Amino acid sequence: MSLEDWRSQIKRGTLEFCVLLMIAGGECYGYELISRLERRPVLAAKESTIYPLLRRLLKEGMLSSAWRESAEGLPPRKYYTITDKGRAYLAAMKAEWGSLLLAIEEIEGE
Amino acid sequence: MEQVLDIYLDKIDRHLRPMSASERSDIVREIRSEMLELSAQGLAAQDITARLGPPKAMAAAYLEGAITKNPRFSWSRLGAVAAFYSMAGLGGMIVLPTTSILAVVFMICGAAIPAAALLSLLVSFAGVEAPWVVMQIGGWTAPPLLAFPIAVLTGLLLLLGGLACWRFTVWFIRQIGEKHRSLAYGRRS
Repeated sequence: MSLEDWRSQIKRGTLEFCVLLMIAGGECYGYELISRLERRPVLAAKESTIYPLLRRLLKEGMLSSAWRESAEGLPPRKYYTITDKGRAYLAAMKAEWGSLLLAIEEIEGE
Repeated sequence: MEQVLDIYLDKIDRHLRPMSASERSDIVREIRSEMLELSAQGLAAQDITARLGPPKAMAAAYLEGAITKNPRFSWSRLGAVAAFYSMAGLGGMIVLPTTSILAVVFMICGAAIPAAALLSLLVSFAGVEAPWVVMQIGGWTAPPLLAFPIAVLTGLLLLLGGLACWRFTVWFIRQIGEKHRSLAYGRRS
């Protein structure tokens, strides 16, 4: 398997985690999430990945959303906030992630 | 907004037709919001559509999420499958119509056969000759009393067959989706 394939697999598994982390840090709109991810090439993802992902998380009740007007000259934006269910899910993900990192460290040190 | 962008949004809206009107307009509104955001940053309309990728692929990503979230059968999901296979490429053009149509036909027959047998049974109880509803297997005509359990069994098998076809359809779409996704995720890295 090429490094490229491996990287895209990792991204697939972690994008949901990163999106929830960002929204847990404060409400975000879609384009904001995409451009923040874009600054980190390992995580950069397209609109056709992020928007359907946000929609799924909304339907699963992890997020809630609201449309809001913006400053002059900018379009109204759809802001996402994390729900209690989403917070609980994120906490569980964090724990999993921590134990994954720990396990890798252990294996490296063996 | 420039015409290219309106056309783009219109295409997305059309490809998303199997979804509910409210969901569709929310999706379009959100993409439109990003378009305005990008053009406020000085991006040209062509660069914006290039960034968003083909409208078909964008719509397919939404539809895929709507289809594969749960494997149960419903008419609106069948509509989503039909829309999806129209953009799923050559393999999908042959496999998906076949399996999704078979699924529906099997399920309809699975319900119709026991219903006909029940009718034949009731008619025979009423003592009426009903040559228009009989079970024939080869040259042998089953008496209504025996035809009913055979029909129920056949109907059940057909229903199971239909369900299996449906499951396969959903599985197949998921496979295509996986391929789509690994391409999409790989591209911007």
